Amino acid sequence: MIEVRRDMAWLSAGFSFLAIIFYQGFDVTLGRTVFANLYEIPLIAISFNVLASVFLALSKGYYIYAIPLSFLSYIFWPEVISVVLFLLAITALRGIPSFARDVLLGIDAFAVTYVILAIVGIRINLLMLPVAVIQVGAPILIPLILLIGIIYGYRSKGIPTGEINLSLAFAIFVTLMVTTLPFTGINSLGRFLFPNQAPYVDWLLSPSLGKFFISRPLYLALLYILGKLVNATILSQWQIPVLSLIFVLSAHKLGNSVRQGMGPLAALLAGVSPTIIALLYSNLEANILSLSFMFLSLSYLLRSETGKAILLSYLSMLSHIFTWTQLEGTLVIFTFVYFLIKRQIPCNLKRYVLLTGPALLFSLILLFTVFSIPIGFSLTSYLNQITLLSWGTVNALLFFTLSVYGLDSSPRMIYAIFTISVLETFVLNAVQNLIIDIPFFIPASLGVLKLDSGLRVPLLLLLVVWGLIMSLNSFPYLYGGVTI
Amino acid sequence: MDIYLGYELYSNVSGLLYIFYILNFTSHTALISVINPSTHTIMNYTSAIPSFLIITHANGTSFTFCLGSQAIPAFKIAGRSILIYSTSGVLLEKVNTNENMTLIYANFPGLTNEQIPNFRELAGEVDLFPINITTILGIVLGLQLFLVLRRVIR
Repeated sequence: MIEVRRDMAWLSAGFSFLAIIFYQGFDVTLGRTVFANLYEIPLIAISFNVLASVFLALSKGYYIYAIPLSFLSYIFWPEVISVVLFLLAITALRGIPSFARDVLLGIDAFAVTYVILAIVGIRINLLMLPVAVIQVGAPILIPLILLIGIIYGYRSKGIPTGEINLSLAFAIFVTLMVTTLPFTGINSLGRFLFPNQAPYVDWLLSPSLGKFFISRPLYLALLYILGKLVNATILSQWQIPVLSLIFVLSAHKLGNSVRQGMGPLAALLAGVSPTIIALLYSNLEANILSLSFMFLSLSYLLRSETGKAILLSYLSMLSHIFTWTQLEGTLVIFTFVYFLIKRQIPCNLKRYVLLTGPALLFSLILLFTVFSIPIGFSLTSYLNQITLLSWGTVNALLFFTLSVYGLDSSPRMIYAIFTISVLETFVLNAVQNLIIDIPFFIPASLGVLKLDSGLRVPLLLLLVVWGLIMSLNSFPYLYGGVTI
Repeated sequence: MDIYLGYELYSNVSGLLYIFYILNFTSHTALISVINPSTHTIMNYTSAIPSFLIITHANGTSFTFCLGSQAIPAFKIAGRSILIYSTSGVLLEKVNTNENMTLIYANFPGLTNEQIPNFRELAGEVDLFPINITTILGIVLGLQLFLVLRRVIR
């Protein structure tokens, strides 16, 4: 039985979340167009702030100071105050209430209806509003959640014992559905090959050994060989499903290395992760291949098969040097910190770092001299990269929250990749690239297993449906007489 | 309210760039973000074209501007920078000595017409969340599916 007071804190959290949305408006991607700042109504935001603070004070007396705080939003920084109220409300929460399952199922039902009708050709955007509000409504919370994750995940707990019945075939089916829907007849205007797929096609039509080639030689070499067999246009489109398949299989392997039997769940979450969705919207083909090799390398490293790990690490480096440098750099820093704390390094890790470390030095020099990575931090740029770059594909609050929830039971290596990459986003001005390279699917799968069994399937369904919605909106279509 | 208009791939001396166009109706500017496709980062998101430059009553030397397969009747105004407008008054291209900006929108309704097109229409302003009979039917379907899911999913 749920106490009334506990629900008050949930009401408060809900109202302050809505206040964040109404203050900034939310950015939703429909038909490969980001509609920015929809429903930006500051007055409603301020009144929701007040309501949130009142419910907060009702749930626990000592939160009474939230009421004058909320009235401050009439004067300045309503968005900061709504974020502060939201965080306060989170601290007042005690456990997940019984209505959470029904709320999730309700959102699922509307989103599934949207997807089914969109496949038939009827777009009713109102049906995807609830899921969009949760996922893309409050991008300002994403850096906060990721920072909280660093603290929350620090204390390592055991791997959860929960079980979930899934098969790899289902995960592959969902992933291929996400990545092939834009090639089917649903894309009635037939516009899919966008300028952002052009770099690879352009390179295929006139291969050269420039900067573009140096950063991803292996991938371009593979494309070149395949380009002799298949038409360039077909190749540039169908590389996406094939790469997503490779990515999902590597996620399956890594999931199984973390915990035996967790592979299919990790594969499913990888298939609907922001990484795969970003692949649909931007030219990240080489990145995905590099990530797949690196995740396989990580899984061999976790199983102490160092030889294979080193080989795959070098393959990853040749596929895309930026991605590899990020993940390899975190592994080197992890080894160093591990040594500082424990005064010893596991044999396999030592061998791995000694045999791949010199290449890291080389790639870092290459990166900061030839490719000039942008350095600096500004909140506007950070939020722009989350909400606008690649059509807001990494704007997935629920996915990140779930990952952070499972972070404290992840292997320390994954936690290190998460922590260092998140800290890097505040230094390097390449936020989206850093975020999509993190293997979020591992902590997310552990988060699912940690959850109450009644919530697992509704939550997974929600994430899968979000992947399908983003896939269905990755191409323009006719809506109300105009193409959007 | 900002509206994302579109993007294009554009090559200059330093290499390939994505250019994003974001229209702001409150400050009446078009924000142009330049994205570097190889590092995949926003390089510049401050350069803004005032909206009076984007859409105006144009006069000048008339010629035909080719945009993809479309041939658009246009004017060319040569000054400190060369501006190319369609006959309907939409800025198509701005050429400075060392930069070249082409405005390509998500939609082109009314581009080849004689009158100035509606700015919001040009940006593809549509009612995204209408309440009509289809929407209501969709909501009913969603509610039914909710009842089914509650039974089926354990």
